[in-house]
Amino acid sequence: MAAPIKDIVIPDSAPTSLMLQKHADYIAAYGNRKDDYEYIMTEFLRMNGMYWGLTAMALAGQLDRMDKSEVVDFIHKCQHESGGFSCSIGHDPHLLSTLSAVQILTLFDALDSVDTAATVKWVKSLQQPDGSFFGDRWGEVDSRFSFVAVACLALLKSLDQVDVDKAVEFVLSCMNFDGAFGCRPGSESHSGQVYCCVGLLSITGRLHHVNADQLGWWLCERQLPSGGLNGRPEKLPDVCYSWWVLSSLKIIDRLHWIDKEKLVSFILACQDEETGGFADRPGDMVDPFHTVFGLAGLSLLGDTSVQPVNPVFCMPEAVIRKLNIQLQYL
Amino acid sequence: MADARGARLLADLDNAFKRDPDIDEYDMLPVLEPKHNKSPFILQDHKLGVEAWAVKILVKYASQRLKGWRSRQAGEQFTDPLEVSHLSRAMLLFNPEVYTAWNIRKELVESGYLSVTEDLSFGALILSRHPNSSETFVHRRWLFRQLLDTCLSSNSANNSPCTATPAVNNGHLVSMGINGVHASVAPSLCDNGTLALEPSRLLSHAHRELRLCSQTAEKYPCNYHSWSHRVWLMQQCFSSSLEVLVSELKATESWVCQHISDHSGFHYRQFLLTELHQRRAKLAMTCLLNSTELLMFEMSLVCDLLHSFPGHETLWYHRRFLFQALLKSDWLGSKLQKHSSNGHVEHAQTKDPDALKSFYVSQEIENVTKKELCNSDGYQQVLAQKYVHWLQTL
Repeated sequence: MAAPIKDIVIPDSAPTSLMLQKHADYIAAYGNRKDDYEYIMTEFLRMNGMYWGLTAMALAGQLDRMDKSEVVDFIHKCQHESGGFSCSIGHDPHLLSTLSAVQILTLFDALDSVDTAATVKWVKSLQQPDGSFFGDRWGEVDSRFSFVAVACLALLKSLDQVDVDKAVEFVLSCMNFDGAFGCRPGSESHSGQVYCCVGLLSITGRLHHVNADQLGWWLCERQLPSGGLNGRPEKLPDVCYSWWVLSSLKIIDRLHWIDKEKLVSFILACQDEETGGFADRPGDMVDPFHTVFGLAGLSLLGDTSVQPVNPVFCMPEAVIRKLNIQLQYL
Repeated sequence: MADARGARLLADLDNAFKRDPDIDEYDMLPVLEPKHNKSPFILQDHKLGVEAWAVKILVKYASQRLKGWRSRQAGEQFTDPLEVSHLSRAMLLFNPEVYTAWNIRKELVESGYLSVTEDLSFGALILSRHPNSSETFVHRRWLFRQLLDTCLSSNSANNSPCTATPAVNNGHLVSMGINGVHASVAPSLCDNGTLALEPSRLLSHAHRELRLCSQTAEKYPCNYHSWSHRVWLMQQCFSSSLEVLVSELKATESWVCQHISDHSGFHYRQFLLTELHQRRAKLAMTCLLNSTELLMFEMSLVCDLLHSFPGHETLWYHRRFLFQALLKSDWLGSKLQKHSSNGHVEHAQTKDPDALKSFYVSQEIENVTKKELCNSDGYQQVLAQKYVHWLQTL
């Protein structure tokens, strides 16, 4: 007996068209309807959460509905003396929340409201002799942190402050035989890590190190019969991978290797018709994380009602273009 | 009134840990409202149950106190390290991704208020309920780096060549081997002939950590954090010791055979085989093992599994790894010799590794076509087709 494929079946009743306005309303109201407990439980993700929500609004073309001064004030309060940003007030600075803070400020054209010189210095201080980056002063290493550091510096126009050759060298040491990347040398390939590593190579103009056919093949094998994409072999499909996998394929020019129509149906089926927002899979609870990656995925797949998204930064293309950041695409 | 109850609940939780310092599992009990006047913390057989209503109040209280203290807000004046430790414990038991709370514990370890051993036990308790908690593993790596640092400084103090590679487990020498070949490893001795205390402490923790990784891998399928933690342990704490790599290869064999869909577990074996192959000369000398034979043994294992359990993508990926590893190994070289002696392959091919490579690729394609493409159906056939496509890209 063959084993059943780990996948889902899209219900007949699932949505088939994009409900953009509902998603914008869902995000706009998100901050208001949290009870204390849930708010506390997700606080370690607050800065990332704001980036997801605000980017979703920007992709829906409705960023002006959000309270810019409140957001900027919050971010200002999250900056530490070291220059890094924490996920929320009273928490410690970390590279992951720092990139989100810099992305939000870029989105609002408000980088001058914080001490960006200190941020650059802090990010630089986290680079190690082998080229890798610590996530914070406690010394954890992950190829995600390499991307986050480099993306952050690129947005701050300070990429020359770190050893780019070494940073690239470390990321390449995380590559596996399948052409994909893991979190550290020797670790399993993972689509999220692939996005980070490919993104770093795009920002630094070193995509020639990637075996595009091999990596593209591994990435497009992430598509399941339902049309959805998973992050690793034999995992369930998830809307967020329509971003990690899709953006990587876009950067290495292999987007045409997947079945776009089927993926679009999968993403659309993950919408909640009543509340707005996207879930990981059809019928699950929605959240801002899956909402932004659902919208960004649809944008990459050519849905023109969503603003064009930049595949490296997951921000509106117009914002990145305005900054005149040079990115490499194959 | 939440605040007053919060302080009470925190004291109750501390009492529970005092009454039983060996709590090894915990969970929330679905009691949404306080129903009696008794403590919402229930202890039985080293298991702790916490009524859900109490968790909400406790977490809110701990979060407010910790944040207030962290941002040094006016009016927040407690600084008793024991209380900070208890607050972070209350927070992390129910929300282990709060990295700031882990950082607070790192500071407590640095200042000596918490021991590395104590905090490793606490993290193990968290993993019993949250087996794939990324931040818990991150914190454990930091704890292990503390042990490593102590180890290094004790080495330099002794000015001796003690390393973390030899394996001492619970005071016994560890005997490891595969396929009947055993390699006994003696613990390293310092100049004065005594076993260095720090390396043996590190090793006994590291061996316990491998067992913990097995538990978390068992509880949560395809546990990325658990398996990449295990890779890290091998690289950093065991310095990729050949003996330990070999013993890991042996130890995970039956596990992967029972978890044929767990790509993370199979990847771990790919990591082990790659490490062993990179140091094949030393492997042959010290463990009397041939790395190419290990790859071939693994290939026959995965082919058996593919036959018994059709339709598993993980197994096909493992076969890909093994095939490309064999192509790069001296397997080709040995075949080259074999073929030139019995003359089965044409002369031109034997001299040209590229031609030989394509010969073996086409042979593998033929094997799969005969066995899996023609004699199977459904998903196994789809996967076999994908494998063939992949072979064609080599």
